[in-house]
Amino acid sequence: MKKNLLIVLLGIGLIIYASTVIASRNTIYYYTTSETLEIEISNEERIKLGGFVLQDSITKDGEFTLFTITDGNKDIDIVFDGFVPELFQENMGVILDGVFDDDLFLADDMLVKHDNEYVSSDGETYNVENYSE
Amino acid sequence: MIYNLGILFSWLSFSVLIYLFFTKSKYRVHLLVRVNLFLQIFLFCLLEIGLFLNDFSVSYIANYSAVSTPPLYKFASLWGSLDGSILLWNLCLSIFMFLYLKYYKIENSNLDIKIFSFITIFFVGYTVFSSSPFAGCIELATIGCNKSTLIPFQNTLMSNLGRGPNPLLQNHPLMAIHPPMLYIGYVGMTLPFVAATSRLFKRDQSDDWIEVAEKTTYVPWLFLTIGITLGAAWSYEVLGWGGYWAWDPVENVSFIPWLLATAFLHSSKIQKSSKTLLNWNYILVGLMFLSTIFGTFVTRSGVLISVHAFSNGNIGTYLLIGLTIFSLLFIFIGSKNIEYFSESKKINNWFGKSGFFVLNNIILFSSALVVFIGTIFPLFYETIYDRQITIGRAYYDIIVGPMLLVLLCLMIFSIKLTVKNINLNSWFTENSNLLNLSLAIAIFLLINLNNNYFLIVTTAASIILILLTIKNMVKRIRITNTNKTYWTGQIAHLGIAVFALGIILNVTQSYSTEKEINSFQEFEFNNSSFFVYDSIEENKPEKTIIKLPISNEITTKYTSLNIFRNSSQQAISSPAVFRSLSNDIYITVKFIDEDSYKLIVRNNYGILIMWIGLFISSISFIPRLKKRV
Repeated sequence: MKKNLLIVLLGIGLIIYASTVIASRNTIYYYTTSETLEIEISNEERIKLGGFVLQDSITKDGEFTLFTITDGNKDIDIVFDGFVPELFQENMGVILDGVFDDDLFLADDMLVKHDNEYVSSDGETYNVENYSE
Repeated sequence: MIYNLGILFSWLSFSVLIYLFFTKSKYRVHLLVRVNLFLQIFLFCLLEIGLFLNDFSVSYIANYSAVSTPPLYKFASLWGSLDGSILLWNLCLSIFMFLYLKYYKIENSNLDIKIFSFITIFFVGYTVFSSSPFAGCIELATIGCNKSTLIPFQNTLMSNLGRGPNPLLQNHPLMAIHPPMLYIGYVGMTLPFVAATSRLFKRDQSDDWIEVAEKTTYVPWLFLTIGITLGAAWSYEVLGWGGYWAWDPVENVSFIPWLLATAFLHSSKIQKSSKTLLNWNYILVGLMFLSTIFGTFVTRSGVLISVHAFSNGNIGTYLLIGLTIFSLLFIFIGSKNIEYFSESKKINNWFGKSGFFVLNNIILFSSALVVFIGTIFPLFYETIYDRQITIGRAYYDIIVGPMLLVLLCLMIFSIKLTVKNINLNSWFTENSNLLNLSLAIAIFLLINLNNNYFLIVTTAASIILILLTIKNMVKRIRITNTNKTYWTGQIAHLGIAVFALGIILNVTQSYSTEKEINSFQEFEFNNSSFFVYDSIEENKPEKTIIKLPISNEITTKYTSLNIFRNSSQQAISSPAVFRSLSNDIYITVKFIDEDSYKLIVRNNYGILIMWIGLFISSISFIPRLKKRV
């Protein structure tokens, strides 16, 4: 009885250990723009980058949307190739999914982080719950 | 009106349940369970009526339905958000309580109904004290409702326009069926929990806990299977990202109870036949139930980032308290039975039936554990390092994939398992023809496909399993005295084998490319040509659809963009799928500019095979319908 319990606990421990190790090797980080200064990120590594869209920075270039995001300290230029969510606008918090190409960040997926204040198309503001995507 | 009635009747239902918990009379137990069921059905209908009458003085209706919402989605809005989904949860619990009373009640004690009503009180209590879908609106937002009250007979305000359900929920009819199926599966896990804990509370009671627990696990298992399948199908057919399973936290927490229930359905069988694994089965029953509560906690409390996440409310704390109470109850009853559990016999034949079933349990349980760790890992990481992360899907693919393969191999031997150790030599001679045939088929398939070590093994294993099971069925299905649960198992295994074949083809063979194209042009993909017409814009009250017709030589399909009004979410891109048994051509629009388009064209292998496999597993209940002779 005790021996069996020991084996089971050992097994569970092993699984927990192994999966934690594998999990920590497969994490996708959310970086803020300043954090990218401190950490070395290679050009191939896919990361999630969060920040606020800078005022007057949005331009269109064919199918690409170019803009700059910031967290107050560091600005990063974004080349976005993909669907722009309707809500996307200046000063809005976004999380982008993509890779660095030197100083440019090439993103193909965007999550618009909206707070509780949602400005509707006719300019009125009302509360909505915080959706995640 | 709806608001007052709803709140009053929720209170009534709550009091009925309290009375049910304390009553000793058998007659009253039977009566009150039925009264509670009636009340819950009434509440459900009441909210539906409110939704259809557009009664926007009810906060929930104002926030999650709109005048322009089509009827089907109005109906489904009831479970479209947190408060309403708890109402559906309560209804399911009440129905299950009634069924339990009718079929599985302990003869000489009310203990099981006490435990059952206790669990129901917990969930009904949430709608009474914390947050109810019937709450009246007392402060308007520009659209919808801002503040609500749970106290009846207040002056309510009525907004003249509802916000409408989440766009994701109103894009396809499947979305109306998928959540209730999952709920039935989730809530149904209460049945084995109640059956086991109440029967083990006093050990003078019958020894049939394992039988009742096993029988009552099958129904929720079936609904979980169907629910998960529908969710995957919806995700693939509607969301247009080309996949069907993302290892999203919400998907994970529906998968964990499924894995545990599958493990239990197997291990309970060896307890029945040879009185082993008593303690293990008890633990599984408990974990099945607790994992559903944990799942609701994770998905409803907003602690994790997920596509499915609802709003943050106080339900997190509430569920955490529930999780603790139920765990303590479970541990308490378990500790009372330590002596009984030590009667559990040892496993003698590791290569016989029990050995295989134990292996199966180890793998299923480990998978559940791995998925669990993957789900909560980001939480721990964030608390320790104060940084948000998500786990890449590679984590699951690396660990869970090989486990499926081992399970497949185990299933091959399940067809003719006896208590005694299996004789591999005679097994190989007996089936040598089929083994050779399936190897030949596997090799033939592989010549035409990308080679991959993992693919070869999985294909061979699943083909062997499919052939053996079919051969076995043809040969023995007429023998009437064979156990019907045996055939349920065999059909489910056949389904999983077909599914495995599909998924391995899908994972290893699929590829995609991007095409830039203008209206009335043609492009080539996978040896066939596709013609793109001009896009059509369609305006509906709740959304605008931009449709792009694409045709191959045979048919025309539409890929579309759905842009919802009043919605804070991005457009949903729905695919055009050209289907065949082996592969789907799956086309979505990525970008539209006047009459030039950027399309993502995917060649997805094995999807239809996967659906067929899951369908076969879902109809595995048919042999159970047959009355025992």
